[in-house]
Amino acid sequence: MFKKILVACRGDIAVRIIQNCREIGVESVAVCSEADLKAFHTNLATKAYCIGPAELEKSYYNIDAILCTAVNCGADAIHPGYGPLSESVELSRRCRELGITFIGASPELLELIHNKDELEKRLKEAGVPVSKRLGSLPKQIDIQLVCDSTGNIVVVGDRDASICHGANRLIYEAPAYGISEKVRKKLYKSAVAAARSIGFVGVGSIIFFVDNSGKYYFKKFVPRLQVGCSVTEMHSRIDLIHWGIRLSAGDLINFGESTICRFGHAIACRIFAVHPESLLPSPGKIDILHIPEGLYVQFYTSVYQGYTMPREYQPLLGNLIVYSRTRPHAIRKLRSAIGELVTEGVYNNSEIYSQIISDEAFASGEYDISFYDAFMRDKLRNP
Amino acid sequence: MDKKLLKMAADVMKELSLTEIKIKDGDTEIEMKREAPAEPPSKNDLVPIAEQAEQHHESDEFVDILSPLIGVFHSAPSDSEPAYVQTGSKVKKGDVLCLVESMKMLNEITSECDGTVTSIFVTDDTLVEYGNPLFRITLD
Repeated sequence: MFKKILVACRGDIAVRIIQNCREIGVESVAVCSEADLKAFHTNLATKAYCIGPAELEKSYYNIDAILCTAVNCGADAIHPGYGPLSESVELSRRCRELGITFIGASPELLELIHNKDELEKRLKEAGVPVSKRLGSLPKQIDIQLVCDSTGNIVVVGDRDASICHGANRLIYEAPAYGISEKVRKKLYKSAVAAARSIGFVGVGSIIFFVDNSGKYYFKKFVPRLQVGCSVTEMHSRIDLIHWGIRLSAGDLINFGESTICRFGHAIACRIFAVHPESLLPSPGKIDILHIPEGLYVQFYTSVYQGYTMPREYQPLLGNLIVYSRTRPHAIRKLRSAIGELVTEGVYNNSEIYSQIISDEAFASGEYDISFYDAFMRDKLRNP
Repeated sequence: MDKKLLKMAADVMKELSLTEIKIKDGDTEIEMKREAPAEPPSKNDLVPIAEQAEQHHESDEFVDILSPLIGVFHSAPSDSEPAYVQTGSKVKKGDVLCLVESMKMLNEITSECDGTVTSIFVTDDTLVEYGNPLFRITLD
């Protein structure tokens, strides 16, 4: 196992990686920008270094500064979180040259993933559908995988990520609702075939678009953690951040698909400090923060009461995740948890999620990837 | 002084957490003071990083030269050569003060003003963070 991991990201993902390091007894080194001197990840890590000004390119995305810190503090691994660095061929390659483990995909694999044509060719040969024609109500379904260096591939589960605004996924649920077991099996098979065809090792997911007749195609290979992982973790009880670190250290998977929890239902929503109506960012000082709690209620966050959210970054307050035995109860639980969230000093958009999950279309599963935008348009017309 | 009065004053001080008390009998004069207790120093390793942001690095009398990047501080161009500057050195705007090495790239750090080097805040071959003060230049 590693001795010291440099955590090259910020926000809730940095916090979770550092928590994982603490749990397994590995030292963590945070890097931060000048705007994040008081950020939670900066204070939670064993040690922290300020590597640049607030602009992402000059601090968090500054590969020279990150590598310089890693070399000089003696880190033997770098965790890039799930931002752009986690898919950076340059960082992955330069880590290898310096003898530092990049907790993520190899530079060769990242290059292949960035080369869309070559990737689709390889997947097509492996029998993964790549034709982009679909029927009605297309949904986005991610298949979560963990793969070790012996070629053992475990499907941790599937999740629906259809409620989105542009590239921002807003609500996740695991398992995906409204797809038949037959389609689910086919998706799992395709995902495993896709990962095997390119020799993927680590924690990653395959994104598919699926229509209501069960037709689907490969959309994207995500060779890293992503925001949606936390809902799958809640459902499966598999800590994907933990496994990302262990697989990079050369450990092998010690659980099988039959031992993963596939019972019940988890739903997550991403809560931002934005004005509930205008949706304009509302960063600032959080005077009062009350976080929802309860059995199987989690709020992954990097903010705290008294903290001033820097205006330079995405104003994410946290990721609220609930789990229950049934989907209707999980929906009620999420609604109740949302009602408990209090932020004073900054606005938050949690009320919108309460309305979305109360919508009939959401409850019945009769929605697709355009749902959020249509919902917001309607809301604007009939406030 | 009356022992009873002293005891009473001490009790009052204790009860009200006063830091100062003044009592005069003729024409009755009383003065009481309570200053906010000093915050105990935190043991957190990261306090320096947080304090840094609140320090002043410029005044009418001096300018602190801050590291523009994270890297290793070198006071001299090479091990066999003397340091660029020492405490007491007179410098002109644009003079090289030190090198900060990041991934084998040497970056010259220059003075922003004319003056005298009055403090060197870091020692050779240590890692300096972005924004760490390196030198204090007292203006002429």
